[in-house]
Amino acid sequence: MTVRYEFDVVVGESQVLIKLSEDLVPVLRTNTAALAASIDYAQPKRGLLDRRRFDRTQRALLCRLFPSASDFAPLAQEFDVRWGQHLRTELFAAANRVLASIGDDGSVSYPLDAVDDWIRVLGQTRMLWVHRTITGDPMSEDVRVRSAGVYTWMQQRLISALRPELAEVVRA
Amino acid sequence: MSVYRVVVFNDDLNTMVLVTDVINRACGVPLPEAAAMMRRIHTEGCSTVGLLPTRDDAESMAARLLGFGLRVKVEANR
Repeated sequence: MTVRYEFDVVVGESQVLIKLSEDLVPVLRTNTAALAASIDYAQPKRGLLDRRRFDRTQRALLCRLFPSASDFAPLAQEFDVRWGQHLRTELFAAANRVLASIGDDGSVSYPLDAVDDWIRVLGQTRMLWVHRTITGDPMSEDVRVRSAGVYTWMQQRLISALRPELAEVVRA
Repeated sequence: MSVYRVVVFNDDLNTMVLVTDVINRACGVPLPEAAAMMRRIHTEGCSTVGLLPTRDDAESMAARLLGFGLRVKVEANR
């Protein structure tokens, strides 16, 4: 298959302009909204079975998004008490800001000093589909691996535009 | 004396460029050293990216790295 997505980035003095191909707009909106919904503790729950199913899915996703910061369970739990809510709230807010920035025509204008929102959301959205042991591949036949690969590709395009010097440093 | 260290682990999902960028900016490590740490993570499976005097400082750095999707641990520096 051929991937025809476009994700062009121009970095200005205070704004980052991103131009998405039109077919990427619904993809990004749907998946960013799914990420936000998955980490939103406040969203209304329906019946008990739905809640249980959602909670289980959510717990698994949160483990993938924010893996344990210690091998020692009590310390990992203390870390989660101190930082877990902050991490979830931060990602939730970033996902909503990213979502709000995507224009219907695929144009995005985002403050340069907040563009980490995009880097985080593009990276963390992959956790909806894959674990860290899987390398994303935009050409894969497997839709989960392909989706993760497209997101890695977009994140890489963005970082490379923001910091072109990184490519040389990494190659050295 | 630094008593806590922050260790970043390798994964198959995050790119070398992202890992270098995040270590550089989130940990305040100069770019060439951040790239060297990234290479160590890639070849040896992990690298210490910060040695900090308090657990709170180490956890704060770990939280910044986790926010970018890196796999990280806080360990007592014995």
